[in-house]
Amino acid sequence: MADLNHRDRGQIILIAAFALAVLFVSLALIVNSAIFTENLASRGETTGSDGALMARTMAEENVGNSVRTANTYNHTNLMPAIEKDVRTASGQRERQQVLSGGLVNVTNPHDEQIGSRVAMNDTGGGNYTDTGQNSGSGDWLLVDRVEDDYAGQPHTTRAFELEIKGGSDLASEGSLALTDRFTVVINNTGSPSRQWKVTVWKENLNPTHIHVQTELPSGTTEECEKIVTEDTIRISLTEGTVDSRPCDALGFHQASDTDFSFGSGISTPYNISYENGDTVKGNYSLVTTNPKADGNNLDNLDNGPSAGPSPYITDAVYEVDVEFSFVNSNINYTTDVRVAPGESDG
Amino acid sequence: MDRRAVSTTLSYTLTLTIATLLVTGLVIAGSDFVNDRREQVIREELEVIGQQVAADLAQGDRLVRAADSSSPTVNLIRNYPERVARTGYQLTLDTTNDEIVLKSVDPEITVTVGMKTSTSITTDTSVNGGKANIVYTGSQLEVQND
Repeated sequence: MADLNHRDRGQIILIAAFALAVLFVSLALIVNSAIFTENLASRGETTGSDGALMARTMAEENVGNSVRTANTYNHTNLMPAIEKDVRTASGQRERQQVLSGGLVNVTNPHDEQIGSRVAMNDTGGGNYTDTGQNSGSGDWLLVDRVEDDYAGQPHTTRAFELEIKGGSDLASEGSLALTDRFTVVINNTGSPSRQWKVTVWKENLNPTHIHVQTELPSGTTEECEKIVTEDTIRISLTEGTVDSRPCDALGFHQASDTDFSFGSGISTPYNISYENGDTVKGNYSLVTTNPKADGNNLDNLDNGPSAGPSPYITDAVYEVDVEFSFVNSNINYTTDVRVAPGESDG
Repeated sequence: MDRRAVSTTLSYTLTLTIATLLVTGLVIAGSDFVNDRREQVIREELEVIGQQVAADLAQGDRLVRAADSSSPTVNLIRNYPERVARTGYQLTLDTTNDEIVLKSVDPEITVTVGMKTSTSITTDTSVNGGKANIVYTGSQLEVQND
């Protein structure tokens, strides 16, 4: 046996050890990558599109409120009032948002469609007759020939709100036949004549139980019942709510897959009338695409609000587009937003 | 001592050879193991990135559909990892099969992730990993490198 110098012992083992060490380090790097992947997978949405969509909804609501206010209180100076409101609200929102490192901007109300608003608005409420008095005719034409301005316009009547005072003789079940109860009728002016109508009444024995029944041109009916304990019953025909609660008879009925929303099955041009309006007392308001100057049944309506209960007509903005912008470090979203508050979803 | 027919050189040679063979075998097995793990990690990471791209495309789609104007500006700025387990990768949107195809450079691993949007997507766009923008061109959604 050769005489081995003890310093030369274990060379192969040393080389093997180095090789294994390199392998372990590579393995550690791989594990690091795997941990990073797990971390990456657990991160949620960070680009903020939810924020952009929420801001867009809020902007639509704010401009909608501006439009409502301008139509009610500023109908002689509509667009400047809306522009001013939009500027103020946008400025406030910008100041808030910039603190979180972003920009939200609503500007340039444009492409407005001027229609008209038919309303009766008296503190004590008036009768739903053509004069607003008890002596007036309960069966009368509110709006004559509502037309659409452009092809593909989804709706031509919006924000149709009824405010029925509890003290009114809101025709009740058990005392009057269905045909004698208060009804809003939409019928097309062309031929064949088709009708969409909604009847409202309360129960004789339980006056807080309010019923709303809709009849489609095909004859199909749907009824919803809501308990309203307030003195004033608020019904929005275009939004489909009774006392701010959704009513199946004024919207899409899931079970039967039928659309009962406002004017469903009726195409323009159409008329809006009341039947048995003498049984109801309160206020109402609706906005249509017809400009006031068209002279639609100005016989029945006063030109602008007057003292005492009486239905009137004013200029109103039916819809307006605004430019909406949402920008932060992750997202840049700019689009036009169409605002038509109180429009039916159908 | 009984040292007949024993050669010192031969002893050394035999010892070294056997030892070398054993060590080489160990190192090769170890290397294979590490490569295997690496491939698995690359596959997983590409899948995670693919899902994130799909989610971002869905976000872009939502924003386009919520817009009332016909040509909104939609631009999502995203920072995807530049490399996966020390290799670069490429993203391709395959609109024929509604898929996102991710391919790493070395080792070559391909991963597909499904995607679904209402807005149409520009066919067969390819981007490298890293900073990317999801942009609406006016008619289609596109993934672009910065």
